[in-house]
Amino acid sequence: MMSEYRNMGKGTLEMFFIIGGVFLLFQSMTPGMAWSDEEEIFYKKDLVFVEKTRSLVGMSVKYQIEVKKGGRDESLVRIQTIPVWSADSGTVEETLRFSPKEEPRGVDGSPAGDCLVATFWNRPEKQKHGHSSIACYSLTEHKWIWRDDWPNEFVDTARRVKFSSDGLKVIAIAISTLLCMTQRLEKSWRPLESH
Amino acid sequence: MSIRGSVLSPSGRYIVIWQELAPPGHHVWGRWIANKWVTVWDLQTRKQVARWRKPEYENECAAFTRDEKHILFGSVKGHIRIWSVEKQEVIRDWSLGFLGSVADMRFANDYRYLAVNLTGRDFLIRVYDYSNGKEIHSFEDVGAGAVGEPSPMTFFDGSDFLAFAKKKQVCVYDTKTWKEQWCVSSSTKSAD
Repeated sequence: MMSEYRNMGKGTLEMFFIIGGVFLLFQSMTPGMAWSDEEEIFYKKDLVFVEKTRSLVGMSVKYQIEVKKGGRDESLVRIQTIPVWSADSGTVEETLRFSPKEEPRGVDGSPAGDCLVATFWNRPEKQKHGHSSIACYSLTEHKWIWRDDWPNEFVDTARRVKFSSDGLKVIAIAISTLLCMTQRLEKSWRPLESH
Repeated sequence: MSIRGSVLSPSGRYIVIWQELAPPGHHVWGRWIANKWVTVWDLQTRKQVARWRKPEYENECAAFTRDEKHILFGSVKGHIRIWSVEKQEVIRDWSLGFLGSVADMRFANDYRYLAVNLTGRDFLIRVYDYSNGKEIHSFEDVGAGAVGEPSPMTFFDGSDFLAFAKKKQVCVYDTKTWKEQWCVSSSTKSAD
Protein backbone atom coordinates (compact mmCIF):
# COMPACT_ATOMS: atom_id res chain seq x y z
CA MET A 1 0.00 0.00 0.00
CA MET A 2 2.76 2.39 1.04
CA SER A 3 4.75 1.58 -2.09
CA GLU A 4 1.67 2.38 -4.22
CA TYR A 5 1.44 5.83 -2.60
CA ARG A 6 5.19 6.30 -3.07
CA ASN A 7 4.92 5.38 -6.77
CA MET A 8 1.94 7.73 -7.24
CA GLY A 9 3.93 10.60 -5.66
CA LYS A 10 6.89 9.86 -7.86
CA GLY A 11 4.65 9.87 -10.98
CA THR A 12 3.10 13.22 -10.03
CA LEU A 13 6.54 14.68 -9.45
CA GLU A 14 7.72 13.42 -12.86
CA MET A 15 4.64 14.86 -14.53
CA PHE A 16 5.28 18.22 -12.81
CA PHE A 17 8.85 18.32 -14.11
CA ILE A 18 7.79 17.35 -17.64
CA ILE A 19 5.10 20.06 -17.78
CA GLY A 20 7.53 22.58 -16.30
CA GLY A 21 10.21 21.59 -18.80
CA VAL A 22 7.86 21.90 -21.75
CA PHE A 23 6.72 25.32 -20.49
CA LEU A 24 10.32 26.56 -20.10
CA LEU A 25 11.26 25.19 -23.53
CA PHE A 26 8.26 26.94 -25.09
CA GLN A 27 9.13 30.20 -23.32
CA SER A 28 12.74 30.07 -24.51
CA MET A 29 11.67 29.45 -28.10
CA THR A 30 9.12 32.29 -28.15
CA PRO A 31 10.87 35.61 -28.83
CA GLY A 32 8.17 37.65 -27.17
CA MET A 33 5.44 37.29 -29.74
CA ALA A 34 3.93 34.79 -32.10
CA TRP A 35 1.90 34.96 -35.27
CA SER A 36 -1.37 33.19 -35.62
CA ASP A 37 -1.84 30.92 -38.60
CA GLU A 38 -4.93 32.83 -39.65
CA GLU A 39 -4.22 35.54 -42.14
CA GLU A 40 -6.21 37.52 -44.65
CA ILE A 41 -4.48 38.44 -47.87
CA PHE A 42 -5.92 41.02 -50.21
CA TYR A 43 -4.47 42.09 -53.49
CA LYS A 44 -4.85 45.78 -54.00
CA LYS A 45 -5.62 47.77 -57.10
CA ASP A 46 -2.47 47.30 -59.16
CA LEU A 47 -1.24 44.23 -61.00
CA VAL A 48 1.24 45.05 -63.74
CA PHE A 49 3.33 43.09 -66.20
CA VAL A 50 7.00 43.99 -66.72
CA GLU A 51 7.93 42.67 -70.14
CA LYS A 52 11.70 42.71 -69.88
CA THR A 53 11.85 40.60 -66.74
CA ARG A 54 8.61 38.72 -67.52
CA SER A 55 7.33 39.57 -64.07
CA LEU A 56 3.94 40.29 -62.61
CA VAL A 57 4.05 42.91 -59.90
CA GLY A 58 1.22 43.40 -57.46
CA MET A 59 0.40 45.00 -54.15
CA SER A 60 -0.69 42.88 -51.26
CA VAL A 61 -1.90 43.66 -47.81
CA LYS A 62 -1.98 40.93 -45.24
CA TYR A 63 -3.66 41.12 -41.86
CA GLN A 64 -2.16 38.86 -39.28
CA ILE A 65 -2.84 38.50 -35.59
CA GLU A 66 0.18 39.17 -33.41
CA VAL A 67 -0.04 37.28 -30.14
CA LYS A 68 2.06 38.67 -27.32
CA LYS A 69 3.97 36.37 -24.99
CA GLY A 70 1.64 34.39 -22.81
CA GLY A 71 -1.16 34.64 -25.33
CA ARG A 72 -2.96 37.37 -23.42
CA ASP A 73 -2.71 40.31 -25.82
CA GLU A 74 -3.59 40.11 -29.46
CA SER A 75 -3.35 42.84 -32.03
CA LEU A 76 -4.05 42.99 -35.74
CA VAL A 77 -0.96 43.85 -37.76
CA ARG A 78 -1.07 45.13 -41.32
CA ILE A 79 1.78 43.76 -43.42
CA GLN A 80 2.19 45.36 -46.81
CA THR A 81 4.26 44.04 -49.65
CA ILE A 82 4.94 44.49 -53.33
CA PRO A 83 5.33 40.91 -54.57
CA VAL A 84 7.10 40.15 -57.84
CA TRP A 85 6.03 36.86 -59.46
CA SER A 86 7.41 35.11 -62.50
CA ALA A 87 4.71 35.59 -65.11
CA ASP A 88 5.50 32.16 -66.54
CA SER A 89 5.45 30.03 -63.42
CA GLY A 90 3.88 32.04 -60.62
CA THR A 91 6.97 31.64 -58.46
CA VAL A 92 7.55 34.55 -56.12
CA GLU A 93 10.82 36.08 -57.29
CA GLU A 94 11.05 38.90 -54.84
CA THR A 95 8.98 40.48 -52.09
CA LEU A 96 9.40 44.11 -51.14
CA ARG A 97 8.16 44.58 -47.59
CA PHE A 98 6.98 47.73 -45.89
CA SER A 99 6.23 48.71 -42.34
CA PRO A 100 2.69 49.79 -41.43
CA LYS A 101 4.02 53.38 -41.41
CA GLU A 102 4.86 53.23 -45.09
CA GLU A 103 1.90 52.27 -47.21
CA PRO A 104 2.36 51.56 -50.93
CA ARG A 105 -0.50 53.22 -52.79
CA GLY A 106 0.29 52.45 -56.41
CA VAL A 107 2.89 50.68 -58.50
CA ASP A 108 3.87 50.44 -62.14
CA GLY A 109 6.75 48.98 -64.11
CA SER A 110 8.71 50.89 -66.73
CA PRO A 111 8.30 49.55 -70.27
CA ALA A 112 12.08 49.02 -70.33
CA GLY A 113 11.69 46.80 -67.30
CA ASP A 114 14.45 48.41 -65.28
CA CYS A 115 12.37 50.30 -62.74
CA LEU A 116 9.34 49.80 -60.58
CA VAL A 117 7.90 53.12 -59.57
CA ALA A 118 5.70 53.24 -56.50
CA THR A 119 3.83 55.87 -54.55
CA PHE A 120 3.66 55.80 -50.76
CA TRP A 121 1.75 57.34 -47.93
CA ASN A 122 4.20 57.73 -45.05
CA ARG A 123 3.19 58.37 -41.49
CA PRO A 124 6.31 58.58 -39.32
CA GLU A 125 5.74 57.73 -35.67
CA LYS A 126 6.41 61.06 -33.98
CA GLN A 127 5.02 63.30 -36.68
CA LYS A 128 1.52 64.68 -36.61
CA HIS A 129 0.97 64.65 -40.35
CA GLY A 130 1.87 62.09 -42.93
CA HIS A 131 3.30 62.80 -46.34
CA SER A 132 3.43 61.17 -49.74
CA SER A 133 6.47 60.07 -51.63
CA ILE A 134 7.41 58.42 -54.88
CA ALA A 135 10.28 56.02 -55.38
CA CYS A 136 11.91 53.82 -57.97
CA TYR A 137 13.10 50.26 -57.32
CA SER A 138 15.62 48.73 -59.70
CA LEU A 139 14.58 45.24 -60.70
CA THR A 140 18.11 44.53 -61.89
CA GLU A 141 20.04 45.96 -58.93
CA HIS A 142 17.35 44.88 -56.44
CA LYS A 143 17.40 48.12 -54.49
CA TRP A 144 15.57 51.44 -54.24
CA ILE A 145 17.52 53.82 -56.42
CA TRP A 146 15.68 57.07 -55.81
CA ARG A 147 12.96 58.47 -53.65
CA ASP A 148 11.35 61.92 -53.61
CA ASP A 149 8.85 63.41 -51.26
CA TRP A 150 5.76 64.98 -52.72
CA PRO A 151 6.40 68.69 -53.32
CA ASN A 152 6.35 70.51 -50.00
CA GLU A 153 3.63 72.89 -50.95
CA PHE A 154 1.16 70.03 -51.35
CA VAL A 155 0.11 67.91 -48.40
CA ASP A 156 -1.64 65.21 -50.31
CA THR A 157 -2.31 61.48 -50.21
CA ALA A 158 -0.68 59.71 -53.12
CA ARG A 159 -2.70 57.24 -55.11
CA ARG A 160 -1.86 55.60 -58.40
CA VAL A 161 1.17 55.93 -60.59
CA LYS A 162 1.62 55.12 -64.25
CA PHE A 163 4.36 55.14 -66.86
CA SER A 164 3.46 56.42 -70.28
CA SER A 165 3.74 53.71 -72.94
CA ASP A 166 7.01 55.22 -74.24
CA GLY A 167 8.44 55.08 -70.72
CA LEU A 168 9.46 58.74 -70.80
CA LYS A 169 6.89 60.08 -68.40
CA VAL A 170 5.54 59.06 -65.02
CA ILE A 171 2.18 60.34 -63.96
CA ALA A 172 1.49 60.12 -60.24
CA ILE A 173 -1.82 61.13 -58.81
CA ALA A 174 -2.86 62.11 -55.32
CA ILE A 175 -6.18 63.32 -53.95
CA SER A 176 -5.77 66.79 -55.37
CA THR A 177 -2.38 66.85 -57.08
CA LEU A 178 -1.09 65.37 -60.24
CA LEU A 179 2.62 64.97 -60.79
CA CYS A 180 4.04 64.65 -64.24
CA MET A 181 7.62 63.53 -64.09
CA THR A 182 10.02 63.36 -66.97
CA GLN A 183 13.11 62.57 -64.91
CA ARG A 184 12.33 63.05 -61.29
CA LEU A 185 9.99 65.54 -59.69
CA GLU A 186 10.26 68.34 -62.17
CA LYS A 187 6.69 69.22 -62.87
CA SER A 188 3.67 69.29 -60.69
CA TRP A 189 0.44 71.12 -60.88
CA ARG A 190 -3.06 71.04 -59.55
CA PRO A 191 -5.31 70.78 -62.56
CA LEU A 192 -8.49 71.01 -60.52
CA GLU A 193 -7.62 74.48 -59.31
CA SER A 194 -8.54 75.97 -62.64
CA HIS A 195 -12.14 74.72 -62.41
CA MET B 1 -12.20 69.09 -54.70
CA SER B 2 -10.41 65.82 -55.08
CA ILE B 3 -9.40 63.52 -57.87
CA ARG B 4 -11.28 60.24 -57.77
CA GLY B 5 -9.68 58.68 -60.77
CA SER B 6 -7.52 59.28 -63.77
CA VAL B 7 -6.44 57.33 -66.82
CA LEU B 8 -3.66 57.98 -69.32
CA SER B 9 -4.28 57.68 -73.04
CA PRO B 10 -2.38 54.95 -74.93
CA SER B 11 0.25 57.40 -76.22
CA GLY B 12 0.62 59.05 -72.82
CA ARG B 13 -0.29 62.41 -74.26
CA TYR B 14 -3.70 62.82 -72.65
CA ILE B 15 -5.06 62.20 -69.21
CA VAL B 16 -8.68 62.12 -68.14
CA ILE B 17 -9.49 63.08 -64.57
CA TRP B 18 -12.76 62.75 -62.77
CA GLN B 19 -13.63 63.96 -59.34
CA GLU B 20 -14.72 62.51 -56.08
CA LEU B 21 -18.05 60.78 -56.01
CA ALA B 22 -20.11 62.00 -53.12
CA PRO B 23 -21.55 59.22 -50.98
CA PRO B 24 -25.19 58.34 -51.68
CA GLY B 25 -27.54 60.38 -49.54
CA HIS B 26 -24.96 63.13 -49.22
CA HIS B 27 -26.33 66.61 -48.88
CA VAL B 28 -27.39 67.93 -52.27
CA TRP B 29 -25.03 70.91 -52.09
CA GLY B 30 -22.08 68.66 -51.28
CA ARG B 31 -23.01 66.40 -54.15
CA TRP B 32 -23.36 69.29 -56.51
CA ILE B 33 -19.88 70.49 -55.67
CA ALA B 34 -18.21 67.11 -55.57
CA ASN B 35 -19.69 65.55 -58.67
CA LYS B 36 -19.11 68.27 -61.14
CA TRP B 37 -16.59 67.64 -63.86
CA VAL B 38 -14.72 65.26 -66.07
CA THR B 39 -11.68 66.92 -67.63
CA VAL B 40 -9.29 65.81 -70.35
CA TRP B 41 -5.78 67.34 -70.34
CA ASP B 42 -2.99 67.46 -72.87
CA LEU B 43 0.13 66.65 -70.91
CA GLN B 44 2.43 68.25 -73.48
CA THR B 45 0.79 71.64 -73.36
CA ARG B 46 -0.74 71.18 -69.88
CA LYS B 47 -3.95 72.60 -71.24
CA GLN B 48 -7.46 71.34 -70.82
CA VAL B 49 -8.82 69.95 -74.07
CA ALA B 50 -12.28 68.84 -72.99
CA ARG B 51 -14.56 69.13 -70.04
CA TRP B 52 -18.06 67.98 -69.33
CA ARG B 53 -20.33 67.64 -66.39
CA LYS B 54 -20.15 64.22 -64.89
CA PRO B 55 -23.46 62.36 -64.59
CA GLU B 56 -24.27 61.37 -61.07
CA TYR B 57 -23.25 57.91 -59.92
CA GLU B 58 -20.90 57.49 -62.86
CA ASN B 59 -17.23 57.06 -63.49
CA GLU B 60 -15.94 54.24 -61.40
CA CYS B 61 -13.30 53.66 -64.04
CA ALA B 62 -12.33 54.75 -67.54
CA ALA B 63 -10.36 53.67 -70.60
CA PHE B 64 -9.30 55.51 -73.74
CA THR B 65 -9.89 53.90 -77.10
CA ARG B 66 -6.84 53.34 -79.29
CA ASP B 67 -7.39 56.48 -81.37
CA GLU B 68 -7.72 58.54 -78.14
CA LYS B 69 -10.88 60.13 -79.52
CA HIS B 70 -13.26 58.30 -77.21
CA ILE B 71 -13.29 57.48 -73.53
CA LEU B 72 -15.24 54.64 -71.98
CA PHE B 73 -16.65 55.33 -68.54
CA GLY B 74 -17.88 52.59 -66.25
CA SER B 75 -20.78 53.43 -64.02
CA VAL B 76 -22.03 52.16 -60.71
CA LYS B 77 -25.17 50.98 -62.49
CA GLY B 78 -23.61 48.37 -64.78
CA HIS B 79 -23.31 50.58 -67.86
CA ILE B 80 -20.39 51.67 -69.98
CA ARG B 81 -20.92 55.03 -71.59
CA ILE B 82 -18.67 55.95 -74.48
CA TRP B 83 -17.94 59.66 -74.71
CA SER B 84 -16.56 61.55 -77.66
CA VAL B 85 -13.73 63.80 -76.47
CA GLU B 86 -14.28 66.17 -79.37
CA LYS B 87 -18.06 66.43 -79.12
CA GLN B 88 -18.11 66.02 -75.35
CA GLU B 89 -21.21 63.86 -75.51
CA VAL B 90 -22.19 60.23 -75.09
CA ILE B 91 -22.09 58.39 -78.39
CA ARG B 92 -23.06 54.98 -77.04
CA ASP B 93 -24.68 53.72 -73.87
CA TRP B 94 -23.85 50.07 -73.37
CA SER B 95 -25.70 48.14 -70.67
CA LEU B 96 -23.85 45.05 -69.48
CA GLY B 97 -26.96 43.61 -67.81
CA PHE B 98 -25.28 43.56 -64.42
CA LEU B 99 -26.67 44.98 -61.21
CA GLY B 100 -23.56 46.57 -59.81
CA SER B 101 -20.55 48.65 -60.68
CA VAL B 102 -18.24 48.55 -63.62
CA ALA B 103 -15.19 48.83 -61.41
CA ASP B 104 -12.31 48.48 -63.85
CA MET B 105 -11.62 48.04 -67.58
CA ARG B 106 -8.62 46.88 -69.62
CA PHE B 107 -8.19 46.79 -73.38
CA ALA B 108 -6.03 44.21 -75.16
CA ASN B 109 -5.58 42.31 -78.42
CA ASP B 110 -5.27 45.39 -80.55
CA TYR B 111 -8.24 46.86 -78.70
CA ARG B 112 -10.47 43.94 -79.58
CA TYR B 113 -10.70 42.50 -76.06
CA LEU B 114 -12.17 44.55 -73.28
CA ALA B 115 -11.89 42.98 -69.82
CA VAL B 116 -14.42 44.42 -67.39
CA ASN B 117 -14.34 43.99 -63.65
CA LEU B 118 -17.89 43.95 -62.25
CA THR B 119 -18.58 44.29 -58.56
CA GLY B 120 -21.86 44.11 -56.73
CA ARG B 121 -23.52 41.15 -55.04
CA ASP B 122 -21.27 39.04 -57.26
CA PHE B 123 -17.72 39.75 -58.35
CA LEU B 124 -17.05 38.89 -61.99
CA ILE B 125 -14.56 39.55 -64.73
CA ARG B 126 -16.08 39.49 -68.19
CA VAL B 127 -14.15 39.75 -71.43
CA TYR B 128 -16.02 41.34 -74.34
CA ASP B 129 -15.31 41.71 -78.03
CA TYR B 130 -15.31 45.49 -78.18
CA SER B 131 -16.03 45.57 -81.90
CA ASN B 132 -19.45 43.93 -81.51
CA GLY B 133 -20.12 44.08 -77.76
CA LYS B 134 -20.41 40.31 -77.43
CA GLU B 135 -19.23 38.51 -74.33
CA ILE B 136 -16.28 36.21 -75.06
CA HIS B 137 -15.70 34.78 -71.62
CA SER B 138 -16.79 35.28 -68.05
CA PHE B 139 -14.92 34.46 -64.85
CA GLU B 140 -17.43 33.94 -62.06
CA ASP B 141 -16.90 34.32 -58.34
CA VAL B 142 -13.66 36.25 -58.59
CA GLY B 143 -14.08 37.78 -55.15
CA ALA B 144 -13.26 41.27 -53.99
CA GLY B 145 -9.85 42.85 -53.79
CA ALA B 146 -8.82 44.95 -50.83
CA VAL B 147 -11.66 46.73 -49.04
CA GLY B 148 -13.62 48.83 -51.47
CA GLU B 149 -11.42 48.00 -54.44
CA PRO B 150 -11.92 45.71 -57.41
CA SER B 151 -9.60 42.79 -57.97
CA PRO B 152 -6.62 44.04 -59.96
CA MET B 153 -6.17 42.61 -63.47
CA THR B 154 -3.87 42.93 -66.46
CA PHE B 155 -3.37 41.40 -69.89
CA PHE B 156 0.14 40.46 -70.92
CA ASP B 157 2.09 39.10 -73.87
CA GLY B 158 -0.19 41.17 -76.05
CA SER B 159 -3.43 39.58 -75.07
CA ASP B 160 -2.30 35.96 -74.78
CA PHE B 161 -2.72 35.92 -71.02
CA LEU B 162 -4.98 37.56 -68.49
CA ALA B 163 -3.82 37.83 -64.89
CA PHE B 164 -6.05 38.83 -62.03
CA ALA B 165 -6.47 38.47 -58.30
CA LYS B 166 -9.06 35.82 -57.52
CA LYS B 167 -10.13 35.78 -53.91
CA LYS B 168 -6.85 35.36 -52.03
CA GLN B 169 -4.87 34.20 -55.06
CA VAL B 170 -3.28 35.63 -58.18
CA CYS B 171 -4.09 33.59 -61.28
CA VAL B 172 -3.06 33.62 -64.93
CA TYR B 173 -5.35 32.38 -67.74
CA ASP B 174 -4.56 31.61 -71.36
CA THR B 175 -6.96 33.71 -73.43
CA LYS B 176 -7.01 31.23 -76.31
CA THR B 177 -8.42 28.41 -74.21
CA TRP B 178 -9.42 30.39 -71.08
CA LYS B 179 -7.69 27.69 -69.07
CA GLU B 180 -5.84 28.39 -65.89
CA GLN B 181 -2.04 28.50 -66.27
CA TRP B 182 -1.22 28.96 -62.63
CA CYS B 183 -2.69 30.28 -59.41
CA VAL B 184 -0.66 31.20 -56.34
CA SER B 185 -1.77 32.22 -52.91
CA SER B 186 1.61 33.35 -51.70
CA SER B 187 2.94 36.86 -51.97
CA THR B 188 6.14 36.15 -50.10
CA LYS B 189 9.21 34.34 -51.27
CA SER B 190 9.53 31.00 -49.53
CA ALA B 191 13.19 31.58 -48.73
CA ASP B 192 12.41 34.92 -47.04
